[in-house]
Amino acid sequence: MVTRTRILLVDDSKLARMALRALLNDLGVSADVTEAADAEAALDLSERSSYDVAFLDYNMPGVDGLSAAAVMRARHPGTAIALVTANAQDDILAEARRLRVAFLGKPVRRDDLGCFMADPAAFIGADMVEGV
Amino acid sequence: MTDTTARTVMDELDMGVVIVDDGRRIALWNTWMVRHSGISRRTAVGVDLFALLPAMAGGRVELAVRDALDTGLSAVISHHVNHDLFPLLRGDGMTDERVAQSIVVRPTRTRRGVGCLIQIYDQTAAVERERKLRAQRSARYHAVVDAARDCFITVDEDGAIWGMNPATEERFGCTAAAMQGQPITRLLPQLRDLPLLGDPLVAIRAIGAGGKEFDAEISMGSWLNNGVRHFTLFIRDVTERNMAAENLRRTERIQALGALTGGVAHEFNNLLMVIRANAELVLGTVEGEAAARAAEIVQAADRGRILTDGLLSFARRQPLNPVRVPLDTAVEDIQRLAAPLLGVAVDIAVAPIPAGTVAMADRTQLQNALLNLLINARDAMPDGGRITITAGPEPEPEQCHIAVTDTGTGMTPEVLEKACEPFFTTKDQGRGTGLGLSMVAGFARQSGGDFLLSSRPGAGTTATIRLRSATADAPTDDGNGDDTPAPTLPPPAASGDRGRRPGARRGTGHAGPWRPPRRRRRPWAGRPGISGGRGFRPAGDRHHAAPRHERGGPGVRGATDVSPAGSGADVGLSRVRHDPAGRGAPGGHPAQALHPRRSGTGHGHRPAATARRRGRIVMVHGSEAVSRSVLGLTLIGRAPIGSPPSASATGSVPQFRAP
Amino acid sequence: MLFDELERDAVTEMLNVAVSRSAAALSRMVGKPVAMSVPDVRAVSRAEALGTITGNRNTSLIAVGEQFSGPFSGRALLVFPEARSLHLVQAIVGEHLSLEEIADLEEDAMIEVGNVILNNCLSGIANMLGCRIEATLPHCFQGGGEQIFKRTIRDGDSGVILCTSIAFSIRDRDIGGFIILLMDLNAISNLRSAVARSVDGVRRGLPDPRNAP
Repeated sequence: MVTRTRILLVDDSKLARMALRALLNDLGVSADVTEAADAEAALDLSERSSYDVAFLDYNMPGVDGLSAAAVMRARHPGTAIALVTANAQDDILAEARRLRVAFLGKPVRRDDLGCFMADPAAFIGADMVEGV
Repeated sequence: MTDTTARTVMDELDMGVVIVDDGRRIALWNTWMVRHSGISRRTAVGVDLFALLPAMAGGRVELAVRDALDTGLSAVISHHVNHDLFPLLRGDGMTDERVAQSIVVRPTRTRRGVGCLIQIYDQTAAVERERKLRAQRSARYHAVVDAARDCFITVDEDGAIWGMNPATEERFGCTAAAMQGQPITRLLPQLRDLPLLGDPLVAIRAIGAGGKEFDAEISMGSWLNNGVRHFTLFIRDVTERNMAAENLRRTERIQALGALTGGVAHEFNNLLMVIRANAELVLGTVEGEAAARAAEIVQAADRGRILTDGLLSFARRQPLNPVRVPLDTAVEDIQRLAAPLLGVAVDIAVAPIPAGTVAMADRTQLQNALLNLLINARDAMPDGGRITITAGPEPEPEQCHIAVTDTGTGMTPEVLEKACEPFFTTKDQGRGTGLGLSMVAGFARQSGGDFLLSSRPGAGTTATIRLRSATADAPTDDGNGDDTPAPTLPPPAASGDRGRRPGARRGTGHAGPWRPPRRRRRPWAGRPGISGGRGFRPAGDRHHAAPRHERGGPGVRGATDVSPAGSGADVGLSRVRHDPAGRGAPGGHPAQALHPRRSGTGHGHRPAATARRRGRIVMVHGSEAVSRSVLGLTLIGRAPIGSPPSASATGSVPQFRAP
Repeated sequence: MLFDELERDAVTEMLNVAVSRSAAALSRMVGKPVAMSVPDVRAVSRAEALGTITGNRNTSLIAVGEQFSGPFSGRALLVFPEARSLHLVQAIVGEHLSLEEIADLEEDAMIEVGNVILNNCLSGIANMLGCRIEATLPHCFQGGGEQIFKRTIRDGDSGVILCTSIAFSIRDRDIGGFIILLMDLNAISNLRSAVARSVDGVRRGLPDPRNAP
């Protein structure tokens, strides 16, 4: 049996999670997708198991996605993490780069997601500013 | 309207008009744009706007064009906020000034579909006009505010600082630039609650530059700017004003205390008088232990008298007898008088006193005051030191001064502030009454002068009594009779003998001028009290005195201000007349007696008989020893308690003066 | 309830994305990080909408409003306490101008700031829903909440208003404000349709649950 990619999908919006799953499906990514509605739930999950890829919304109630990314990065240096948000502030981008977290503009474009899934490392720090 | 007409209108417009199609290609570039950009219509049309003007790529205009084309949104873009607008020059032939522009971007339709209309307005003239208006406005404002010595701070509704004048910068040690936008509570933490600013006047203790505290009185004005409420705080330093008010309060307090103590002392003195008179009567009739006890009572009454005298002096209820007092002789006298008190460790120096410096003062009280100052100076120098006495005319006309300076421990500002308050003392319990300086100050004030203390810890103290100078026609010491009116109004002519010379007093004692109604000395306030106080009086004298007292019993009581003057006068006179000390001092100079080292050779009274123990002087006069408290010297020449506030005869001074 | 759970989620997410763009735009303008709250979407009465605008405080406000139209219409408002607006403007135009100078250009600058923030928000919505939203030029309103409310919401508006407020604040600046979208019932129903189409689109893209492992 081929090992399926394990993906953690964190967004307070169910629709946003649905949309991202739809895109992954469209890209033909075959994966086990676990969803979490906030950062704390995501941190609980990441404590118990490790994921190959994590998508984190930035603006969520409670802990923001970037702070959660910092914890997950410390726990699992190998996880490919993407911050998914339209909030492309310089400070946020810089912090994401520092944590080796990719930046995906919202709404997520199919092509961007494809590039990220193909080569997460190359995507980090790429000039992805706004999801227009 | 045809296309051609539309083009013509566009070209006539006094503003820039650009239309781009959905590919951001320029479809219209009007004449105004050609003129101000220097780019021809042929060059512009059909070209991507942001390829033509690459400096604008990624800027605000491009984002606005994108929003207009993609979404249909409109935008206004102001030169105030953006610096990367169209590169346009005014092109008026005089300057190459850039056009200050405001831009409106909105979606439109072109023949090919969606498009974007860009309108560019030249705001340069308006900007210049605004700048001038602002300059005028602020010139007026700054002319007033910058020159002000009070602090002006402008804050907004949230208490954020907008501006401040130079006085504020100086006062708080900050700069307007650094404080701009900062909360006012950075400067005035007490204003943490802005509603406080609603009060018309706020008084707080503020901390200025270098942590220096000051009393700030804050008043506030409020005004509207573009609909936004602002407040201007006017901050005034009222430290000095508050200090003056505090001084006034203190003065009033002391005055009230004075009135109170004066009243109590007066009543108490009357009681003491009765006690003492009766004790003296007993003393004259008993022997042995009973006599010793009676003497103790007399002595205790004398001490009580000393205390009440101090209180009365402070309360300024002591009538004074101002006469001409040449300061050189006054200083000479007090120097002699005080020398034995001061001990060998204390040097005393007198600066030359300009001849003819004559004060108008009660001689005895002045002596008492100086003695107090000298003793204080001595006590301030437990390890010895130097006392300097200076005297002379003041710069102000009709004023002179005597000052006593020591090289002692000095006083802290706190002590200095309280030094002249009654009952304040730094001496050990029982060593000082705390009345000395208050008495000196009371005396100076009552004499129409004042009393100054200056001191620093470790740097010694200077006490200065300032007095009115005597006028040429003022009464002399000798000429001041008992009918001297109020202290401020010396009698025009002297009458009677001042009693400096006991002999002379005795000689004139019966004369009328000695007893003007209600101006008698208290009978025991003179020498009898002194001499009797220690019980050293020769028995013979007691016998003399006794009958007078017996007779004068009612007079003793009557020597209050309600008594018929006559009886009190009688007693007083009789006491003077019968006073053994006066009689027994043929030519005895009290100062000499006090200071045998300086005394002449004519007396057999030797230093051996002079001793000092714990603030008491034992004066030796002839074969008699008269022990007196230092403060007890105030007894000398003491006026009757409760008599009207006028001068009265003083009978005891002559004891100390040679005829 | 005007929306079902997923629709409500969709509207919130849409505004979240839209306002995130606004926050990013504002952050670029002031050169400082901008924090924002998660949007709060509510269908409220006029009185409640007024409370949202004034923040139940009695301070005077400054508001920049745009009227938008498209699949649904309404008004977008950016609301600041008036006194703080000057500091916002100063943060944007730079420290070299005194607050007094800024006061003179305050309205110009506020209109532009509001314009940028609101346009980012509206274009975000349009982008999400794949539609076109046209908006008028911005207007600036000053005064109490009641005054602004009266000028931005017509009396004829129906009883229920879709009111979404997003608080944001500029770090180190003590400047915060609200973005408020006001839509009447008719607009809300149109918004629902637009959201529903968008949700359907997403659903269609999802893997068939029967094929899931």
